[in-house]
Amino acid sequence: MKSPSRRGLDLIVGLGLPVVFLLGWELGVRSGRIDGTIFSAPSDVVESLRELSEGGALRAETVTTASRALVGWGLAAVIAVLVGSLMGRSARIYSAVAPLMEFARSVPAVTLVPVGLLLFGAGSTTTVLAVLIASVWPVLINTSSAVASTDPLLLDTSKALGFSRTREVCSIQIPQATPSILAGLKTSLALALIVAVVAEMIGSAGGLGGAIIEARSRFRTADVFAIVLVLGAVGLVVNLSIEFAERRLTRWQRDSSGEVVASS
Amino acid sequence: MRPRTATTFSALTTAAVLLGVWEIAFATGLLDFESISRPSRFLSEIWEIALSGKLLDETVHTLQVVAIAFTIAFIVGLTVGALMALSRTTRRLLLPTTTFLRFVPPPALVPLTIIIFGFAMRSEVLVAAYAATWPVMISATTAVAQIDPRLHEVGKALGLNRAQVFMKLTTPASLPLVLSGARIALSVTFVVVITVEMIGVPEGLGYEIVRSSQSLRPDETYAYLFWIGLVGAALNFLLRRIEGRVVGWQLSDAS
Repeated sequence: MKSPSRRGLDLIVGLGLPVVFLLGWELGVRSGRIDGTIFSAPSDVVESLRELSEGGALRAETVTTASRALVGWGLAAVIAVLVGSLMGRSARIYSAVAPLMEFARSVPAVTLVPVGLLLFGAGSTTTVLAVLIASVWPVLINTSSAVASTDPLLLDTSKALGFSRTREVCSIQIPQATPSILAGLKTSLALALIVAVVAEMIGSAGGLGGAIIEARSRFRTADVFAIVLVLGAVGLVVNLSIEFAERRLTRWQRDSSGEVVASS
Repeated sequence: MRPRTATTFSALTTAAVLLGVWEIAFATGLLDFESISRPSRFLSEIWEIALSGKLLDETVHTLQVVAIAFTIAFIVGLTVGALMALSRTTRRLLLPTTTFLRFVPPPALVPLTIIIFGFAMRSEVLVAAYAATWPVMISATTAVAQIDPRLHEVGKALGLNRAQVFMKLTTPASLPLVLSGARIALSVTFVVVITVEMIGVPEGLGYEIVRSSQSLRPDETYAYLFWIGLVGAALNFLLRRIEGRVVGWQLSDAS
């Protein structure tokens, strides 16, 4: 275990590299050694970040992108857990669907954007659809394999208790599969954000993706850098919150290896 | 495990049934959307694009970029990942930077690389290599870190020097994880190259699918969609085979 002061020191050392890099960049642009119209100076990027967030425009675009990603991801989660449970319980459905799934998974979700554009035009529907399809696979695969490998002892117990099928799935198999399902959800949320941005970029459909394309077409390089920075920050926040949620939700799991844990 | 042929058979049956239902529903006019193609149309479209030689050209372009970007990502990811696992100083220096950079969505970099390099292959290679470096790096770090410490003791007992330990113990012991990281990286590379072609560089399969959609040619769009899926599936299949062959000893060892 690391002591807090040690971790603080590590962080300072770690931040040293980017700080040196950014300072060098800034000085390079100021002294004219680096072309500032292509590599905007960090101070210009900060300035344009400030300009963009004035009037709440940047926040609105961030909310648009994030909500599209979340809606697509949420829908995918529901579908994937339902279908995944079905596949996990029936070997016949599994063997009919699994190889096709393997193929469908190899189709990059972003290539569905042009198909969505033909059907729905540019906008939220196309974006959400692409996000949904991208996010469904990790959860589906994890759910079906975790449900299929439910401890037989638990299934015998449920039979002995006279549980109905629905009850068996809902109160035994899905809870037992929770850690795998969560791992899938984690992978797919990170994907959801990326796919949302790409879909917005392809369709010029607003959001952060649309904003970045617009900034580029106007050659506002500093704005492009600023939006990339915002996207990195959003990605980081999303990933940190999933890790936090994962630790909270699977806490019971770590205890279950030992004695019976009183349910609270 | 079910026999391979049976699995393939049931998969083909499901695929045939799905395509058949799709074809019949649209051919009979049961479903009618101008913007949705149907199997007989997009399959013959693939054939036509293939005859014109365009399909091969675009596929070769895309795969060429995938190969270059993947090679760069593999070398960079492996080197940095191994360094971070082996040396505390490197880890302390790089960890915060890599943690942030890892979460920047790679496609968001496309507008930047286009400003810097223009609409050229270099932009594609750079973004795809960037995206594919992370899976390799993470798997390399984990692989080296999870090596059984007893192996190092064995190395010491055998009187191996550091270079020998690295070549004879560390490398083979971390190979399986590194390879599975490489497999993920290759599929990431493929997806990102297609994506970059869709949003920036006007070349390759990704560009063709967007162009066909913008000129409202559904048959062509679905043809490219299907073809890109096939190429992606073939890549995955190939890599699984290679992985199985190289680390086969590990699997038989474990069972």
